[in-house]
Amino acid sequence: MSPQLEMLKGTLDLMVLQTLEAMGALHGYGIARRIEQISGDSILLNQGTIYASLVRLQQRGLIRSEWGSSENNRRAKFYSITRRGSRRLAETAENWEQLSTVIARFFAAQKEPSR
Amino acid sequence: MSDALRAFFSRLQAIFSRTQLDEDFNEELAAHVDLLAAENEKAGMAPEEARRSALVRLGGRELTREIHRETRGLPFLEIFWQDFRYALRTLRRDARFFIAAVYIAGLGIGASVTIFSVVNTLLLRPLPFQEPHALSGSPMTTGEAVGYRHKPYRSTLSWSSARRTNRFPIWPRILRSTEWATAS
Repeated sequence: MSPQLEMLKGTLDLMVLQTLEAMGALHGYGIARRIEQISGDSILLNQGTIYASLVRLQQRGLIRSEWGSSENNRRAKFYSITRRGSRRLAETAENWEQLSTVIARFFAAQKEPSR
Repeated sequence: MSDALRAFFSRLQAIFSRTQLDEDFNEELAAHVDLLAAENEKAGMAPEEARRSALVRLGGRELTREIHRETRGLPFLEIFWQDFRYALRTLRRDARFFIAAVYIAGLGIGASVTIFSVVNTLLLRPLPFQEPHALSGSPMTTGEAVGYRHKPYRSTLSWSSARRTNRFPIWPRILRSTEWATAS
């Protein structure tokens, strides 16, 4: 297993949003599992932190929740992304891509011999 | 509406439905632990071990609840409210102390207000006419009657001549004497 990544602030919220956008309605456990899988287990959450993220997103009206029934027929809360959330996700994703491209370019530049 | 404003109102709302939200979250967490434990069992753990491991992966039930509560509401306000109620309970238990404290505070406030209103009227506010610095006074030294209201004609004359020769600024005396007139 690769060493765990240190998460930047706001990253988890973004991952949760993207997961809900891609997968539709999911409960907290499903979201946590999905994030771990996608990251190739380089992100191992204290799965409880997912719930803080879910509360934050819900407070901002980016996701909504409703009770439903889980795989093992237990009552569970299912979260889904709102239209506002989708819009926000698109904006933030674009920002992230630009930022990571620039950062990557910086690291690449450092390797060239100085003249 | 901005994110911050939305979040604030949502947090404010959460304060008033704490019991309901706590119950909801307990159920949500229980479901999470069950699912995780079931997964662990499928991977070959003994039921008890599976459950214990699930709680570890969660990061502890109590801690998770704590974080959830802090994110959900307005911790500062809630703590303040708790302290406030605690103070009220304590005071109710010790009613005589409470009454004495209120009485002393009231007395103090009353005395301060009284003194300040006197000082404010006499020293801080300007006198109720134009150019109060031009005010001058004249002592009535003409005999029996003291005070302008009872002045006979003669003393008025002597007063007006005195006024011409014997002017002095009234400010230093205003607290000592009530006898004054505007200089024309």
